[in-house]
Amino acid sequence: MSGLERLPDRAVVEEIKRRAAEEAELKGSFQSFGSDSVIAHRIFSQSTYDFQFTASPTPGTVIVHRANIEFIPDDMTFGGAFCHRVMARVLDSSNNVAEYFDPPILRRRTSDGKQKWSIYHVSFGSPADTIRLKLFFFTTGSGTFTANVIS
Amino acid sequence: MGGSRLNDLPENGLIRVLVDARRTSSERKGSAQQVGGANLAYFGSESAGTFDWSGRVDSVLNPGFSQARFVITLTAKTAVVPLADLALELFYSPDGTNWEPYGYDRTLSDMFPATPPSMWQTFRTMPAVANAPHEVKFSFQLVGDHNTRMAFKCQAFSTDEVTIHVERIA
Repeated sequence: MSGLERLPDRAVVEEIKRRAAEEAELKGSFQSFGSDSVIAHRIFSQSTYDFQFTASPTPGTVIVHRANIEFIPDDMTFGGAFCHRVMARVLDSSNNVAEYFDPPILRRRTSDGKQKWSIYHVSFGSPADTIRLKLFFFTTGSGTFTANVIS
Repeated sequence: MGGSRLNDLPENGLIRVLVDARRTSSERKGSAQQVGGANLAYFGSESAGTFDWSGRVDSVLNPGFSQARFVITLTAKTAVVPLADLALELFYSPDGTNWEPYGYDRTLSDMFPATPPSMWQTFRTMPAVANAPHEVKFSFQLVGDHNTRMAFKCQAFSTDEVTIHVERIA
């Protein structure tokens, strides 16, 4: 290093150049976050079940049931947490696990970036077709959910 | 004797501020930061156009029903294994001009009793063994009355921006 670079005003210039180089590296560096640094969440209510699809009391009556579900992130600073999967535990009307029912859960297109699904079931007028569902949301952040029975 | 007052010189004060700023910047660059939903964004992606596919369900399965089968591939810009999900909205046209939504509840109600077009839809995430790096694949199958006009539009939700490609395979 020549004597010139040790001059006070020259040192300021050198320091600013090093700072600019650091900033350029920070801007350009691709920082990928892996599972070691991404917090995953499993969100569910404290209830035994969240909603019920009720069969008709009249034998042979077909009802196509649908419930609309939405995940609502707590923090919307950067658009909110991503819910990548919704699962349902199915119970019968006595709250026994009824795994022989596998209601389809289908994500819905939205125009506003909200995360919505619909869940479907068919009943045929038998009490055994009445089911209760408890929902589990697998997300990258905390939040709440709503579930509304449409039919 | 007191300590040197060199630090009080204006130019030395300036240097100290700059050095501190550079150290902070270096630390930020190297540090692993735990992130949660507040600062891990997700994207909603759609292709341009009204539909990602429209056409006839015309691959004969048996004398009663035909099928149309698709592989839908999401390709991420950056992520090697994207965290992604797909929303698919289905439509039906009785005349080739007007389109009406054909949701899964209509699939079910058209079964009981059997009502044309009786279009069954099956949507699945494909096993990871079928995915190349940066890809997530879904399979979608329509089975119903022969030659029915159907269409669908996809919307991807993912932690990386993705493009959507639809390939009809049957």
